[in-house]
Amino acid sequence: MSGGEKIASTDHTYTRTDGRRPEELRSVRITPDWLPYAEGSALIEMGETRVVCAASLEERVPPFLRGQGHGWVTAEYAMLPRATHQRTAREARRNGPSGRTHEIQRLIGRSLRAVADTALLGERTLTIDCDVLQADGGTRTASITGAYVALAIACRRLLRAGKINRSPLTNEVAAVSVGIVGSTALLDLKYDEDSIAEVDMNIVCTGDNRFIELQGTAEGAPFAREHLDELIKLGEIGIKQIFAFQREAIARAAS
Amino acid sequence: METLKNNLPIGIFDSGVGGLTVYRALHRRLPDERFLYLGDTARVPYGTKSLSTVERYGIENARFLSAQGIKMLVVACNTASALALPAIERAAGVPTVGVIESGARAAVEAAHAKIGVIATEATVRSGAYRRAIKKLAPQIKVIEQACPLFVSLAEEGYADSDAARLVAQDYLSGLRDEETETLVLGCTHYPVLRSVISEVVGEGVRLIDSGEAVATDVAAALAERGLQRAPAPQKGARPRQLCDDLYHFYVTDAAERFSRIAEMFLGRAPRRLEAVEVWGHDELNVRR
Repeated sequence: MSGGEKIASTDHTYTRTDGRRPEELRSVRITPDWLPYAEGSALIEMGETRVVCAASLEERVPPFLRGQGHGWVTAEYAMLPRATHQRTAREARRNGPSGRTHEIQRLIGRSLRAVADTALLGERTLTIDCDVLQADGGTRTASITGAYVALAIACRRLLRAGKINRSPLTNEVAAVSVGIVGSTALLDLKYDEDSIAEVDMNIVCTGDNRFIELQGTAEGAPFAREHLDELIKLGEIGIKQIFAFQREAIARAAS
Repeated sequence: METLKNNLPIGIFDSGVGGLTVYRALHRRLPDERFLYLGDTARVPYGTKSLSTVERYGIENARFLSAQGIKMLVVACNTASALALPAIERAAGVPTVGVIESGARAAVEAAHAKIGVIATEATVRSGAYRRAIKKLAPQIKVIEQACPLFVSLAEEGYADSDAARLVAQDYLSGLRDEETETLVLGCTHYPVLRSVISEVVGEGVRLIDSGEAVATDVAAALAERGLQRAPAPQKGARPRQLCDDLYHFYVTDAAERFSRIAEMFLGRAPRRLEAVEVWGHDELNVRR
């Protein structure tokens, strides 16, 4: 093995605060149609992390796309002040979105565009708003997973309504967090795990098991290639299950 | 380096509670491994179902456990092992071990001329043990006897009762007269009645617990594929106990009853027990 310390087994070293197995997701619940006005919406709960995702259609595109006949898919991300243990000031009262917010909403937008053929939308924009009601780690990955559900429901409705001729969605997308805590590779980190993680990683995948984004960061000592491979394998176990929850939620949504 | 491949748990499924005796044997034989147990209590018994139904149940159970992340699957249910092992292994996508071949191998190793097999009616009717034994040792005579009431006696806490003794005497008198030297306990419930069975057939008859036999085969299969989990370091290691929170149990119905019977079979109730659905419209079955 080339560098790095060994990933030991959970029961010998690190016990998860909620008693989960290292490769176990938190309980996942996706409630479709959580908001009545949006073209598509879902509440996603990954344990105590809760995010409302809403897809809205607008009959316009950003200036750089005007006149090309193409549409656009984008995302915005925000957190309620008391989504966190201490109150976080509303970004509207500061000087606009923080660097973190920018980074996250770009990630969500990129992830969704990776599975959307925007040419099929016409000159329209689908905006997916991801608003975090409660944050307990993994809000960006939950946002991506929930945003896809909202987007898929919206696309199905637009198709039924005859506003588009073909669904712009070319694939599915879901995301999950993984990390190394106490020398143990863990799936779906809670905040208390995330905040002490030695390695922190977000994995965004398509429904046919290809990657859209891999964001892996060593918080202290650098990590070895073997650890990266382990984390990706762990992420695959979680993402496969998340896709099943998504499909079920989309099937349950009103058409 | 200890990898995820080694660190993942071993999945075990049974039509209900009987497979807990297999879990107990695996826990004893492989103390460093983690286990996920699925008891399909909503659809028990499998013994009276058709082949295609048992196959479908087996596939759904395998997919459920496989989705949780397992490195190996043990089909603790005799009926599912007898009827659908290849289809289950394909669905699981991981190496899969059934109870029948393990039990047959252990019996053949212990016997010379005659092997008795006691099992549920469905398992006896399938002839799976007879085939497995004859494949290994065609010269050995196989005497099969269905003992359907044993399951109820075990589940209802009558394992060590006069009623059990009476029923055992009735079922096993033929086997005793045949003077079989080895008797396969071909149903996962039967090890619970071990002492009564032994009393009736005689101390001299070697009882083959298919759970113990499968544990030996699982240990060998793990070693062969380099999938063993690293032993716990001495310092600070938590001693493993049956049913502790490192083993997770899933049932498809009646968790309370399962918990009660588990306590009877194993001496303690599972710390982590969850009711799930393993079937559904989707290709990958999800947990609710």
